[in-house]
Amino acid sequence: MQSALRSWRRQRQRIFILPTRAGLGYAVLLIVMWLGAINYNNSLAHMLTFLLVSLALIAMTHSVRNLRNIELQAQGLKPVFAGEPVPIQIDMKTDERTRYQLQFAGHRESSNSLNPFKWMRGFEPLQTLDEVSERRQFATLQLPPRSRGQHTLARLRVASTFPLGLFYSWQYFSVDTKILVYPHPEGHQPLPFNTGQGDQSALSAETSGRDDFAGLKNFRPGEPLHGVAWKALARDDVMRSKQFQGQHSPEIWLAWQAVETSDHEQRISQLSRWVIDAHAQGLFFGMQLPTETISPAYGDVHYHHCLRSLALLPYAD
Amino acid sequence: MQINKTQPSSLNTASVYWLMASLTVAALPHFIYQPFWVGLIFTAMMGWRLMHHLRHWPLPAASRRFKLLQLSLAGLSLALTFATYGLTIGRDAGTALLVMMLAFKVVETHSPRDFYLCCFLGLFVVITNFFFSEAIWMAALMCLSVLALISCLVQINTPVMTSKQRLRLSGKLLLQAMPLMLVLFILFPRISGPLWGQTVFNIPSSMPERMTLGEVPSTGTTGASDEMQVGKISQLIQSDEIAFRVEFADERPPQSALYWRGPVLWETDGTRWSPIDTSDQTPTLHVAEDAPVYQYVSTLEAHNKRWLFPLDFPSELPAGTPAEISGDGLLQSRDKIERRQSVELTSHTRYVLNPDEEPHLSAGLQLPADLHPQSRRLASRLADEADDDGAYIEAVLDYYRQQDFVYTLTPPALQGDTIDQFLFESRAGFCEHYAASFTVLMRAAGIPARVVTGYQGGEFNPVDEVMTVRQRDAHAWAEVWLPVQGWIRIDPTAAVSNQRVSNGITELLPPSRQGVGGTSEASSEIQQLWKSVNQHWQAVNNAWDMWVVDYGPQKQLDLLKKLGFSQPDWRLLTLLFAAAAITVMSLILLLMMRQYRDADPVSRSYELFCRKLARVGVNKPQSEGPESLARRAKRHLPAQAAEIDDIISRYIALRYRNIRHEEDKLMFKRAVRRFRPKQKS
Repeated sequence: MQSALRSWRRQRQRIFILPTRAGLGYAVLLIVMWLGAINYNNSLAHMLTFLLVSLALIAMTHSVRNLRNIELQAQGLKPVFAGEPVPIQIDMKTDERTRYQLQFAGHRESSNSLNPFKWMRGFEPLQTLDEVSERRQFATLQLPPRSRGQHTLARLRVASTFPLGLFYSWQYFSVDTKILVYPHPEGHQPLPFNTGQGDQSALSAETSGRDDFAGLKNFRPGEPLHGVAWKALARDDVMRSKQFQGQHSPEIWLAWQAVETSDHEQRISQLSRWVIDAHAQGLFFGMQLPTETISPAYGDVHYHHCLRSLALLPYAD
Repeated sequence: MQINKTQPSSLNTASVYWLMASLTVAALPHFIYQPFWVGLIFTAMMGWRLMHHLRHWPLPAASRRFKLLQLSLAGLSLALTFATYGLTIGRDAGTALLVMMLAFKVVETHSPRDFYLCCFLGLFVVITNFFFSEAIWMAALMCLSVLALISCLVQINTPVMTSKQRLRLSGKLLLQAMPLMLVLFILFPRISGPLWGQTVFNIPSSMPERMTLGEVPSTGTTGASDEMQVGKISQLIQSDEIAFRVEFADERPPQSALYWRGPVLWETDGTRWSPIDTSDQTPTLHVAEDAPVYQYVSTLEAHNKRWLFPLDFPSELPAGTPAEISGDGLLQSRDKIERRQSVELTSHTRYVLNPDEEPHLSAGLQLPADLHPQSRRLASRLADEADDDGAYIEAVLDYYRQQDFVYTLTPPALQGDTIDQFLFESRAGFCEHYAASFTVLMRAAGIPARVVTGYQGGEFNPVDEVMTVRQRDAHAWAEVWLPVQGWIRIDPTAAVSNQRVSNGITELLPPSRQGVGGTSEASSEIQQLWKSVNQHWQAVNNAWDMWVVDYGPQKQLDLLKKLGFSQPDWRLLTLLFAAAAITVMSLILLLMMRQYRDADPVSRSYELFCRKLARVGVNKPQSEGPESLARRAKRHLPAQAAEIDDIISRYIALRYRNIRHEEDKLMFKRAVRRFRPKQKS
């Protein structure tokens, strides 16, 4: 018995419902109508009042039903830079009934508080799905921009005033979606070719040394795309990268100390800028941070590794 | 409160059109009930908003000039309202203001908040219509209006829906609200009004307190409410309004006996006839043993007087209604009849009234001293020729029959000595004239006589066996007192127009008021059909009036009594109401909130299997596949490993190996049903 009760409880979704401001107005209207009906001993006026009372109760059940039987999962799509909206993808499962006006809101982690009302309120509206008629639906929600670092979207709120706008019903979904936000790239310092352990002459070698084509080898994920032998790919559908004889990619070091500013965040922004530029140029680069040193490499994995390290740097006190 | 930030802050045009259409339907009856300028201002404001969308006319918010225009129009409507109704806001003034202000609000509706307000005010306009009429057509029109207003609310919350979907959803919501509404309507404890102000309206023409023959010059006491109510029965005949409805318990009296007794008039000044106070006596009634007794329930329409109009002659005081009867047989309830009211009455149609002693004989002989010389001469001539009183009465009736008297609903206006004029000049008149002149002739010959007003006739509807008496059945007749025989009813009108009494008034009415059957040369089948349709419609109207419009605190308690509660009061009512409301609401919740079951029988059976396993502690996480579940289940229930294997392999075959035979599904289902997990102890 107890286990049955427990499993029932687990299945149940908690849906909250409160009257909206319009709903409160409606209640006042009903009271005035009722008084009028009594005053004039009017049977049809009583009937209309009672009809509207029942209608509100029925609308309440419809409102709750609109949110029932929804399963929701969410995941972050890809890392974004600070200042950009954060896309997350939701995967929603419902039954065959069409749902209307689902208003999504995301929880703001900063507003965590012991005050339960604040806890309910710490949501920012995201988007409204006017109609959900598929049993399974994917949608992309744009969270507002966030600061750099690792964020968690702990909970999503799905709410609706369907059908009459008299009641606002909502429920929470624990999604625990991790979102990584890279630092906003900013700064005008050129790439520090002359700093670090890089060799000045390597710069010229890099530009000329590329020409000594040595052959093809199988492409490994992470290698720069501009090294892919596209023509060969078109010929036989095998992805290969070009190998260059005597390739000695110039190494540059993006060093914490090389940034000419004392501001912590500006420094991170400049480093972020450099990582993007270096990656775009296909450079072989390493990074020196107060917390760690990333040895020189190239490719997407390295690029994201660097940005991730920058994103996770502790904030200055 | 949660603030809905994602809702659009402006309204789309379609929803404004819908709103305007719904509000117009709701306000439509007020075009009739209210002065013309209410409708005019409403239409003008709606037109303004409409032209804004069609022709891009600026709204008042656009510039100060338009704002001023709108404000001055609002001021004008306020001024007109106060000029018409004065400063007390009653039903009429309140509704007029509401309708106009709603129209002004529509012009200025910009946000969802305004939109909600307009819808709610619209619903309030709907309810005010019922204060003017509670007829079936009004209820039907207002159903339409409520549906439209609810669909407006749906629209603003769900703009993606098509109009058809929206109307369907609103209809569905309203239909689902019906059961609970009925519970509320029937059982919610009613409070008897009024709470404030004057609440009795719509009292149509009713029987006059006095009778007036001919044109009476204004007596100068204008403004007195009594004087205003002085009317003529012939005016009442113009009205098809229902006076009362009668349901006889078993037998109903013959048509010729249907005299419904109202005020008795004694005193006359030659033109006007008035009652005298006989409330300190009670009538003495002698009834034969075998005389038929009629028990019936009479449901009187509001007429703002106390008269109960029993069948002549009431032999008992009404059961359940405080009432009194005066010496001349006027049965009155203690309170004014200000709303429709049912009274249980008992009457005898064959009786002897006050045969031995009549204290008001002198009042029954009163005549104005120097009037009616011609009538007096006629009376003495006829009395000389007659042997006794009975012969004299017969001679007078013969006089009416033999001379060229005409029964007409539109008699020529009489002035001066109305009785003489009627008897010797115009000779065209109405029941009032006949009753009055007959009474004068009786009194002139020394026979005590009086005029009785009331109704005569009634229309019996075989569909619901209800007899309807209308205002047009209003009548006046005479009573004479003879020793031993007491007061005898004599209807001189019958002498002239036998039809009036035997068939009722309908056939004497002009063709335009007789309905389809009377005039057209349509075949008798169509006439029959029309009659039957008409009777059914009457029956529906009767039922509507009795059970819907009249349902109030009293009927509520009556209903409980019928249900077998001996002493119903509001406490019991509240209890019953709560029980019924909870039951109905739970049923609705159960129906609406039931889990939508998966349509696929295979997954349903599999779910049952999982539930059975869960009962013995093998809970299945959502992500677990059937094989892993089987492994865990077998570990838990080693004795039933074979059974579990069988079920799981069947499930896998059905689910993943594309086996779709019905018998396989049945076998799987049966296997799951038979599976009884036994906990090892």
